[in-house]
Amino acid sequence: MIDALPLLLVVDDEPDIRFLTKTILMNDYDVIEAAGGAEALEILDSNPDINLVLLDIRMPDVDGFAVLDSLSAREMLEDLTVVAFSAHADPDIAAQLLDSGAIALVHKPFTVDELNDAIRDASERRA
Amino acid sequence: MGAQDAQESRSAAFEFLVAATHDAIFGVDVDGAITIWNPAAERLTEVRAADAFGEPVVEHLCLAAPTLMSELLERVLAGETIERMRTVVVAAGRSTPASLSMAPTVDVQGHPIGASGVVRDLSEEVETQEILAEVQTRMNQTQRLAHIGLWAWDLATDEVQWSEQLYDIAGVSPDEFAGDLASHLAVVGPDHRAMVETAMRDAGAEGSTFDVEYELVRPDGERRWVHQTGDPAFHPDRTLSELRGICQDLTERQRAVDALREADQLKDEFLGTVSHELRTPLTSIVGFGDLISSKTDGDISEYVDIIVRNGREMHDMVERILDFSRVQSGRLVLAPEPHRIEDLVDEAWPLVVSLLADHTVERSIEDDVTAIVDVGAFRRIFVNLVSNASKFSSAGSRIFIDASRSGSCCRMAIRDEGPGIPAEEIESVFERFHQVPSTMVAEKRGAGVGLSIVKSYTELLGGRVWAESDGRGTTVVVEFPG
Repeated sequence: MIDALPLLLVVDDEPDIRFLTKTILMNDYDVIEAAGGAEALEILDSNPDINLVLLDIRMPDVDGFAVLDSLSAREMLEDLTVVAFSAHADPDIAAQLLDSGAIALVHKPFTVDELNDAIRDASERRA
Repeated sequence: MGAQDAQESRSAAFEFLVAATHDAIFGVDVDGAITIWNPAAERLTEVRAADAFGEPVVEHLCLAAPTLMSELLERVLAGETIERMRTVVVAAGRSTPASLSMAPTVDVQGHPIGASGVVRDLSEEVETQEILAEVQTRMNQTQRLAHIGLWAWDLATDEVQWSEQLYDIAGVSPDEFAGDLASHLAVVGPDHRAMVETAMRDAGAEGSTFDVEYELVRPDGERRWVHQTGDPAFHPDRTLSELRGICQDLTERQRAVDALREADQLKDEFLGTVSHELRTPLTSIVGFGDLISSKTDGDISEYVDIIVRNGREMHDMVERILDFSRVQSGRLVLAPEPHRIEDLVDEAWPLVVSLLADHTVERSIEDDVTAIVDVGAFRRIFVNLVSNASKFSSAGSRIFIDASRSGSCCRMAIRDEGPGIPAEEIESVFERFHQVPSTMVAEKRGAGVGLSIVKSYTELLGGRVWAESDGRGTTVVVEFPG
């Protein structure tokens, strides 16, 4: 029996971005998708095996900060490694994200290597 | 001296006074024929006394209404007295504003024997009044146009006077205004009243000037933004008499400023949204392009790399415009602290490595040179300057990064070996949206905000920046407080 790949949840309201991250990461992770913050929280509630989350910030329903706040309130951040999408132009937001519990940031737009590196760094830092 | 002597002496005195006065004096008999005509009457009418005597007074002393003089004369001869009636004398080809007094003349038994009169020339007085009225009108007009009202506060009596325009600004009518400091302060909005009172009382106590801005609340509830200034005024003995000054209604200016602020904020929000909306498709372009590139070789891989690179450049430009907007809006909060330049450059290095791939970099940073800067601001300055140096010089050329102490400052210079900047352009490269002429650098164009961002950040840090070019490369020098 082949070892199951680790689970990774990508949360982004843009289907193209979810597809892109899934394509880049599919050799190393079993990627689950959520199209918004509310859906992400539901999925995380019912899937305690997920320990890696790739989280977009600007989303129409429940945004990335609200997701981090909810996870923090439910004391779920301890067991999760959250990598947040950010932008170079928003150094303030980047700092706030790290304060709110994100372990690492990936700046959009990103290359294959940048995404892989960010997730590997975050996992290593967590371990 | 006998009674007759005294009588003669008085007559002589009267004659002198009649001759010397500036008022025209005349006398007539019961028929209205002239019996007295003094030199002032001669001057007023240009009729000599010799020619006037015995002539009907109504012919030589005409009033504006042609029959008025004969009507008046009739009334006076019948016993009436006329005191200082305002009229106009028409004589010698001109109309002269004047006041006329006339009384009956009686003999010792009390029988009427004629009338005597005095005409005072009021033209100078009227002229002065007209000038005053004109000055007043102009002053009112000036106050109205400039939205300025005048006030004066008498320090001894506490009396406060307002000009007409100030009543308009305050929305108070003169009969509602008690005319003391308390009623002046009553129109100041509650948040500012204590501040204005302190400013006025302090200036009144010290004989100094003051200058305050506050919100005025009119009785109808309308709010006005007012700038009030005051100067002390002194008695001849140099003691303080009053404070006086202006209240200028700046409401319109304030509204314009508010509207501008709102527009500026909308612009920032708009730029933020645009940046975000562009980031999403560019993430797909760059990400999928990179995926294709990693799965193919040769020409296709090379073409896709170009797409990816351009996508990144486009994104970079959007971020810079956003950054520019942020720094321009002045809402940026910086935290300057002393840092070693070496450390700052190392920290920013990963951001410029890709920009410098085709150049030879010569770094010469003196040990332990420190600058008092905000790390984020330094990073933006550095990345923009290196990006420019790389963009505007050819592959294979050198880029020099120097830093050294210069007095109490830290001086960083970034030099390239590109075509340089023409002398006439060297000042304007820091202006926003400035772009070097297209002949200088084929296909190398940015948003034209890079150096403007550098200048804004440098100035926010209390430093300065300038460019030098001798036709063989460009050096941009930034001086930070150290």
